[in-house]
Amino acid sequence: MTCIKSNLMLLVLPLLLLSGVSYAEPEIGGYGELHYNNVPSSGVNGDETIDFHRFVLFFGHEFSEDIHFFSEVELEHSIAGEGKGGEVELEQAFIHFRLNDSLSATAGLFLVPVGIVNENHEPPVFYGVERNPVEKRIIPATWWEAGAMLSGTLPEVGFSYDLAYHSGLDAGANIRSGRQKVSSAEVENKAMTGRVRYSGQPGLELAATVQYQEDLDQVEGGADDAVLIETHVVLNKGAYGVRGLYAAWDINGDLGSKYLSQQVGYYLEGSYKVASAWGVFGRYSMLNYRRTDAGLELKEKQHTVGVNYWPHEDVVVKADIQMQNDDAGDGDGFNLGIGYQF
Amino acid sequence: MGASTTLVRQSMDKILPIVGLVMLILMGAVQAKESPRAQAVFLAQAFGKDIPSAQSKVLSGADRENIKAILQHSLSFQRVRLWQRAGVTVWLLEEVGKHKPITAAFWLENGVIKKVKVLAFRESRGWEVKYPYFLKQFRGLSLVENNALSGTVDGISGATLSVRAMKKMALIALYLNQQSN
Repeated sequence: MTCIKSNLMLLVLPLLLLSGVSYAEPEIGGYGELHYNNVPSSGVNGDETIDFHRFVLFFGHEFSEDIHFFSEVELEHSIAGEGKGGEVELEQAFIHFRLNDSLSATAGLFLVPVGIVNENHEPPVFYGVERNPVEKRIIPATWWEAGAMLSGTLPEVGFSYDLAYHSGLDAGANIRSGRQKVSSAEVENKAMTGRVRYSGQPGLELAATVQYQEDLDQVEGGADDAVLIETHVVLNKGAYGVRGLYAAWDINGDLGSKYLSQQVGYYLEGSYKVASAWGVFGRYSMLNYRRTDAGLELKEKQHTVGVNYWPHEDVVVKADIQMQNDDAGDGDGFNLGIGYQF
Repeated sequence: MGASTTLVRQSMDKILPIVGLVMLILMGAVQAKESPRAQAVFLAQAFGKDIPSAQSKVLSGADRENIKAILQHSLSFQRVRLWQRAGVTVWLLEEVGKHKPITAAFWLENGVIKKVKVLAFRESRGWEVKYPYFLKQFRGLSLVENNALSGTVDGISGATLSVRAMKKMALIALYLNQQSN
């Protein structure tokens, strides 16, 4: 922690000196989504659940033309507190420094630059009531850490890159449960993430991320260092859309099973805008992971088909049917949702 | 997986110590921002050396209603700045992307978009909308029924709102051009 604090001070102090005119207008935004799930074994309260899954507010402030604060506060599952199912989370709180037209720096608590939905997950911009399982279990979105990040572009040719040095996971065999959420987090062992991205053709994004975790469970023994590799493509041409993503962990150390050292997932999604306000999609997801540290390894296969309806460009109504294999809990059922952003 | 992840691991010892230093050096490398001459250069492309005087169009009640329908939110402006001569018009417009306004100039000839230039982009994402590979999609587009563009403009992943703002400004420029002719 001391190391990261020192780094942040070194990064922030000289840049504060560059601050110019102050702009006082606050920026406020947000998004939210209500879900109805009718999927056997999906909820702890039975097959049918209704849940205000996410209620999010953004707050931003422009200190100067080049120094900008951004934050995101989220209430998950409607109510938080002891014995309650929800959480209040600070998912983003960072200072963004624009160094010039092609270079910027970020310091604070920010989203890890990996995958498709981790940084862009407002409900109107993706298909499906629930986010895809690969980016939930393998990546694991929404994933934020504390540290510093340098971001640059080669804009004329459509390339960009990010290089981040930040706090790491504290995970056993279950990656998702290893998110420390920057809550008095263990940072004896940190992590580094690098991403390259090409977006020089309208409608096309190609990206790849590599992350190195110094020690996945933050203690000697058990899991040691780990590498996450992720790559994806997004292609939207006219009414047609395709998304494909592959993510894999290579974990050193003793996890009790060789199988768990190579957790991997991928999905392929196709979509079609039937009209400007209607779109349909189909998605196949496959992933190998462990749902809990002490649980069984799972090989999950999920087929999802559904529809999005946008009564306004910032409001979406969703419905989908999902089919899962027995390993993943035989979760055949359907989901309904409504979401918004502003 | 094996070979690539081994390479990543072997590289970490060399990379980690220099990351902080490189970031500090780069952070100090503040360079000039976008040229303030961009607007003048764009106008010179449209009109040649003899650039007409800027005009200010006051929006009528009907204009405001139609523009509001295009924007899908209320208007924050009463007037629009333009330069016009012999069938050539350049409209200067502004619309918020995700959080901040994008300023763009639209060069129209005979009801068709000839060229678009982003004069100021203030968002941290969506920088692609400033560059020719995105902007060339607007070339040749006109206004069709129901205030729609005559062709497709494909988006930028992760910059939905900036792309949307550009499309709305193109529609407003085409609409105002239609009303002024």
